Amino acid sequence: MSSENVTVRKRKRGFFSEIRTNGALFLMLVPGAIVLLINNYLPMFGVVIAFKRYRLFNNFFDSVIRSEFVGFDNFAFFFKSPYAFNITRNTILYNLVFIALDLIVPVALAIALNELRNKRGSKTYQSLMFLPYFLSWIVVSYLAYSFLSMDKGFINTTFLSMFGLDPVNWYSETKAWPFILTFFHMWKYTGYNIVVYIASIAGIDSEYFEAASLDGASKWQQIRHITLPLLQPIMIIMTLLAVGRIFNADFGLFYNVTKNSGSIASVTDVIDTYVYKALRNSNNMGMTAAAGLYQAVVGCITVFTANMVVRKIDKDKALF
Amino acid sequence: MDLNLNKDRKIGEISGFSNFFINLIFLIISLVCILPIVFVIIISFTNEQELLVSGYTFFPKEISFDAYSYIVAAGDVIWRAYGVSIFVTIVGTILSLLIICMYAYPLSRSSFRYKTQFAFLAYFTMIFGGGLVPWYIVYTTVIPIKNSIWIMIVPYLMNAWYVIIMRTFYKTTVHESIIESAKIDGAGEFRTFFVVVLPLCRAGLATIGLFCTLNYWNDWYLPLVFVNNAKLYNIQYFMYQTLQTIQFLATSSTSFSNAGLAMQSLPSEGARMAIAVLSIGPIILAYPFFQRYFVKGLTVGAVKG
Amino acid sequence: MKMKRYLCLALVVVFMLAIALTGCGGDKASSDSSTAASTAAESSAAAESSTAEATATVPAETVDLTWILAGPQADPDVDMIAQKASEYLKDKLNVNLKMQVFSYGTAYDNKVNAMLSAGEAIDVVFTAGWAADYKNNAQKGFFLALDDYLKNSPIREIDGEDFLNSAKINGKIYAVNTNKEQAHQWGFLLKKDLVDKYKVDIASIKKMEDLEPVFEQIKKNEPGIYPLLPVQMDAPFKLLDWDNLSADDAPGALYPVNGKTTVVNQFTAPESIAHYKKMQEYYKKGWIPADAATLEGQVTLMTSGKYFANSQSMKPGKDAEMKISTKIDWVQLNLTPAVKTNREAGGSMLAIPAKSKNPDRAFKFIEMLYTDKTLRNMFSFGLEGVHYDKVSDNVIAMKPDNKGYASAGNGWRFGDQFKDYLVKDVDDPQKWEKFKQFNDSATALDSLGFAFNPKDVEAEVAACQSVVQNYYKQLFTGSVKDVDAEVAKMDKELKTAGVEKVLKEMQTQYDAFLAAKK
Repeated sequence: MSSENVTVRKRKRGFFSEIRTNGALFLMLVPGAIVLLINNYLPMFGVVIAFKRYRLFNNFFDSVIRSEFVGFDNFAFFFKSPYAFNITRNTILYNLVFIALDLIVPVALAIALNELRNKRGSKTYQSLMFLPYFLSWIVVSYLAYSFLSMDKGFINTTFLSMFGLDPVNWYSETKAWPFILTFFHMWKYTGYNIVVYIASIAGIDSEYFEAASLDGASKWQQIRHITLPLLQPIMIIMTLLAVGRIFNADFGLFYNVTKNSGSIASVTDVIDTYVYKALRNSNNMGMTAAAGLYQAVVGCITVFTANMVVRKIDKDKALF
Repeated sequence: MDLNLNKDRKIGEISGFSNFFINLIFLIISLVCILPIVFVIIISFTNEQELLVSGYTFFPKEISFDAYSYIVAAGDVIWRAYGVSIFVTIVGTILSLLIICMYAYPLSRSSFRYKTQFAFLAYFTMIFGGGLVPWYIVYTTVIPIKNSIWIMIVPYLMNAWYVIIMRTFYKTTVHESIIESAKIDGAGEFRTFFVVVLPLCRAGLATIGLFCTLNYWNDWYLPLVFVNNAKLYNIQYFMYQTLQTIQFLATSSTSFSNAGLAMQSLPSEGARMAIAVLSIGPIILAYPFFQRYFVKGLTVGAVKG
Repeated sequence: MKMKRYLCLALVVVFMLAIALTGCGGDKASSDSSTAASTAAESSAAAESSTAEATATVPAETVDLTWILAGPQADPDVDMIAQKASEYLKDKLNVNLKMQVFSYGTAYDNKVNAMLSAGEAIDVVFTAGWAADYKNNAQKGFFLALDDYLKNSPIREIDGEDFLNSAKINGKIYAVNTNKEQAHQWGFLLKKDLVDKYKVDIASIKKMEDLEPVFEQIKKNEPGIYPLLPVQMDAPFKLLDWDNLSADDAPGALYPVNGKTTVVNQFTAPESIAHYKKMQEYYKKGWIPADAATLEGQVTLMTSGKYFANSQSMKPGKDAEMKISTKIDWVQLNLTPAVKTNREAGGSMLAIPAKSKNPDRAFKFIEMLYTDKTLRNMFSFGLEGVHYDKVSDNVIAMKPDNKGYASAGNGWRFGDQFKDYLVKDVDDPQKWEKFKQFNDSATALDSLGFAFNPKDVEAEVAACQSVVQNYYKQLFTGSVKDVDAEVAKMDKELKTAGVEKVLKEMQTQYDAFLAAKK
């Protein structure tokens, strides 16, 4: 790093002399550092709860330290529960599907948008497709409800009845939810991803295309041999970043759009919703914390691995 | 729609047929994106009786403003929730913008020796977290702000990702020489930062500011986890409650004198959709700004992703 | 590069720290009961000296006192009532009362369990077998032991020694029972206008199935009205009257008749499966709301007047009580025989959470709910002139236009309910005598006084509860496609969760309890 060269001369100076010279800069860091401390680092200390039978003592720190140590019992209970496998599977499978679709669909659409002859149309489509990204999951759950409601929803009252079919109780129809959730994920994020890729395509030097056209290359050939190869780095980065977060599910999607309906939990419960519900329903802090820590540690490993790969490809794109 | 024939075709353009076909696809996708929102708007203007009898429909027989007049009449709780959202969004955005910008600035200065360590302090939170349980306990016992409006502000004040973006903005738009010359003119670090650096990074401020605004306005997670007092419900959480129990609307309002009557005459189906519409309103209004700066932020974010 | 080094270093540090902390924290002495005991002992030792003082003088310093309560809904007027109560208490207890009401059902549990186990500083909390699981929370040391406080308390006499002791867990009392009816029976509240319209002969109805013709007529003739409203646990499933040995959503129950001593899983018992099928039949006929499985807040829904029948725990004057809450006339239909079980002994209690900052004044406050008629009626009915008018010394008239306090009439949640006012034209003037008769007429089940200690199967119980939580709503409301398949799925998951171990442990403990009783 460049700073190393710059600071060679100052090496001998200690932390306190740095504070003296750059006091103002330190002061600027203070508010942010305090928030990080409260919001992120104090809870990090609390991961110890996962190894404890959590009981109350004088205060948080005291409770964490003095609660009885039970080793990996909490983890054992969690993994023995019927849910450990199910929620892990759901989290990974949904994310895999999302990652694949988030790569293919937006890239294809971004390229197509870029080829449109009417540029104003292209802008309008972009605006309309980007809009869902700005809505909260609560609003999305309303939209979903207006289509899926058993007695009033559009699908039951208009669509199915048009074909003389019986209404379906969507909020307990397990088979439908993998599709519904995928749909709403795509609905919300496709516009966002398109914007990312459009920006990259716009950055490609138009001379490449002009030269290719003059050489008689077809559109398909241009896309295959110019656009896609040049988009490849950003595609890889975006995908790897998503792979790194494969253990973190979108809580809003899985909790709100499903209306937290118990009947479909087997296909809609993910680690995040499980941990939330466990905090709410049981007073077993230890096991809940264990489930959370399991997610954090595995998630941490995946982020690291993904980042290592990114680093190999393009050092500047790596997170750290 | 552009139906030009091939004769107008410029070099490198696709054929008229392809153009038409792609347009058609995008038209359909755009409709899919926008129709659910339109649907909710239509429902909010549909006569309640019709909703009860024939369900939600795109083509109501009778337009009605009952839902909205109900909200105006019974609206104390709704306006309160709206007010909470506005307060949290404004105060939260200003504070977090300030904190993030101040945190990112020293990290962008090559003369600052401990920038790696402090950058790390922020980045590490993106990689590892303590999880929901300790986080919940911290805000209920160590920093007991659980029952105040600050619980909806403090947890989102810092965001490592935004710090990265802001640092990139500083690095690309503010040259060290500008800071050096400001220093030579006798300006202190704070003065340099607020008077010289920040104005140069207006686009960055707008981007991060809008990110924060959106986060705060759309937040329902913090109230879901922490807030118990109905007076602190924000509009998103209020909507969450109303979707769970439709009568929540009527029971939480004190404007109506007779409970039973208010509830039986409540245009509940329409009214809750009307609240959804009201909550989207500000976003639609600010959408042009949002879109512009989001794209900018995403581009910068992609530069140093 | 440098960053990477830091990251690795930090991760190592975090995990080392975690291991170090867990290692040195192996404080074996602080196992469950002794934890609870020691925390309790600490504070009650301090308590004893100060209770004596408190009776003599009012403490100079005003403190906040937070009271968490279950109610029909989160009432908007609660703040106003709490403020008035604080004024009233100014020269008695000098506290600034803060009340939070969450609606009965999962809403209450979801909020309060997390608050208790996180150790939030709250002072008085409503608890029961069906709300903020009393036994579980007490055993984990989340409540203070109240024995020392109770030593010379007037509550002893009001509740009676037996009733007070029925809350004992491992020899200590962690919450005080409301003095109210001491038995229960299950039945339906039916909307009176429809009962009159369809001339339902209440006396001829002995079981739920007898109501079917009425449901049918209502479905046919009353568009917009649902014949039956099951909401979460408040469903006709209750009519099976399982004698639950743990929480309502934890497997393990006895048949509600004396002599049958085998612990069974009430969620997969043949009677329950038959009931699920009945409910499914009703659901298919459209007698139950389509979205019943995701509904919340029974009382709020009842208030809308769109539901004909809903299952309730009955006692004399239940219809009157619910009229005050919902402003709708109800007809009370009792179906199961009245029995005395652990459900009532522990059906409604107040406890002091372990992390209360002012346990002495919290207890004083609880005590006043038993002794101070003015104070307790503020919470039972609201404020005079706002929520009700006084008719005579002991009789009030509810204001018809009040809606900010749906908790009105729910005085059974705290203190001595026999000190509640009677409501004109609603309450039976003989209400309290009838309560006493009801208590006397009920048969006591053998299990009365048995407290299951889940210590050794804590995680299994919790795992079973989360399984039940995922299934019971659709089963209780009949909104499943195939009952047998759904029950089989639940049964399989429960077995993985260790239900057999739980039932076995319960059986062992219950057998020991019965043996000790003889």
